[in-house]
Amino acid sequence: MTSPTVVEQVVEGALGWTGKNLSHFDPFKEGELTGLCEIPLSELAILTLSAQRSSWPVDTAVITQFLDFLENAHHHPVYRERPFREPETLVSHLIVAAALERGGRLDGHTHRSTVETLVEASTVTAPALPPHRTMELRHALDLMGVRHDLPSYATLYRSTMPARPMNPVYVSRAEAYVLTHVIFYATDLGYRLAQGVDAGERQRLARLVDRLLGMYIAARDWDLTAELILSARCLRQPSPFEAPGWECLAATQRADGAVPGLRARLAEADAVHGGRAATSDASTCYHTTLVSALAGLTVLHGG
Amino acid sequence: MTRCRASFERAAEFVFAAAHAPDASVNHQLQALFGTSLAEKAGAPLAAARVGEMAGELRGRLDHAYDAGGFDPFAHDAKLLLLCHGIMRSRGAESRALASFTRETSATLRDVGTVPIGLTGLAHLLTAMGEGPFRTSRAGDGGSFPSVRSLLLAENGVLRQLCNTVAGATLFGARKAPGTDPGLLLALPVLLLQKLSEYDLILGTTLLRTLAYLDVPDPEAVDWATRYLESQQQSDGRFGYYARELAEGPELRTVDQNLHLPVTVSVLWALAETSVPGFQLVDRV
Repeated sequence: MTSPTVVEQVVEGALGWTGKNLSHFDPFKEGELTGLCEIPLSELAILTLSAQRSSWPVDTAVITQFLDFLENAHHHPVYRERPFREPETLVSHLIVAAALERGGRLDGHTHRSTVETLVEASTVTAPALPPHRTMELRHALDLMGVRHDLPSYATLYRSTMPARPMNPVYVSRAEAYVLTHVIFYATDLGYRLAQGVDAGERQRLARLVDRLLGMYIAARDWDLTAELILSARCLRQPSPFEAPGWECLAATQRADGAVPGLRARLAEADAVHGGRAATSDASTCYHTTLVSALAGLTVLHGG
Repeated sequence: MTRCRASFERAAEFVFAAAHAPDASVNHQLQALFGTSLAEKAGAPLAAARVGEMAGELRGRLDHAYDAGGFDPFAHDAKLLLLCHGIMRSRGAESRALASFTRETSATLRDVGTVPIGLTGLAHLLTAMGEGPFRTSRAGDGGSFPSVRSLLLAENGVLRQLCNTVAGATLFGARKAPGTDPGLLLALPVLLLQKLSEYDLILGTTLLRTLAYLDVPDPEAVDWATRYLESQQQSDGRFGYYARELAEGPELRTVDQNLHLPVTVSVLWALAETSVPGFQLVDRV
């Protein structure tokens, strides 16, 4: 049985740390917009959406602070026009827009209309992506209410790796992330029953998630521990490893609220052994901190 | 089952060959005798002849060292010595060295009064060999079970100790477990899967046997583990692919004996315990 106090402690600490480290989520922090620079911002938008939707009362000042930051980035013309020149960046932009619209910071109608024109004219929904990435695109389009011609979640799900039998011994870290993300997209991060995944399949996925959660706790991989706790909640099948998982996340959380993950441990080891130049603390901690907060909000939302 | 038998047969052939390399020590030969005996019990017919051959050879080597005052039983695992003693005796190749060790160990355990928890397995094994009875600790005297979290985060040494305790208390599955904590039943299958995914085949297979000894009702985890292990057998019968470790570490002249032999015997043992219906290392007590 997971203690709500432990979960609340992790969530409050993680939200506080995120608020103090918003500059890390700035897509312009390296100068020009290149590559995947919008991803941290879109992850902040996912956290903002979850905080907006959770029935657990998140401090409105925290949500306002996150929305201000998202809005500031979104108002930058170079940022705003990027998906129209490089449509492969559309997913990140849609999630930011969804959080802003929900927060009353964006005229969704106008935005939808321009994005629909882009989707119709471009190859963004052409079957070029791996199935789990197509699910991600569909989830982002649906979040913003953009019309599209992508296949149903059921059709998309059937082509993903998690729809096949998986032996957990062979599941790599990258494959574990594919599994968790497919579950996130199908369930809208726990805010709806899994779309396109029937009850029997949900049970099978839940058993797999359960084993992997225990395994990643044993591996002291706190990022996947948080991802898998969230996945179990998304499937509405709480795992017996959830309580020890939260105990580990709470024990790992620093006084400033950060939850250092595997990358932080590796960076620390590198620094101790005089290896690569030290990576910034925020860049190595942000993902585990953020996903711990997301998992906690979903747990607290479910009661 | 035929596929399993063929796999055991090939593993036994590798084990036999490894024990006959010029560098093979008494310890390697003890492991190899035990391994080929496992294969025989698991239904690999050709292994039986190998067991007889090895038992005779090992008796000669052990007793030669014993007569010269050069046999040190403390250089070996006590249970392995006892198990090999049983195998050799059953083949009419009883070793004086091992018989003497068995008698002395029995006498020592009788002298201590109540056998300490850590030696319970030894006492059970000696009893099964007709040396008992001994006064052993009651079930539950070992204290409380650790939490699921501490089990999951336990160091490998702690897990090895836990598995040894279970193997001892159940006499390799021949005795009913004295009581099992639900947290242990929850943690063991994921620890098994995790150790295999870390490529720790010896600890992984030790955990797999522990699940069998405790009758952990988790056929799915056992199936995943056995399928994984079956895929790690090379064409010459050895288990495990270690080129990476060997390339990174110091040059190891006796890699077959010091790496592949213990891994192969450990995998063979776990697969026999979980895949062969009715497999019993020691007769049920």
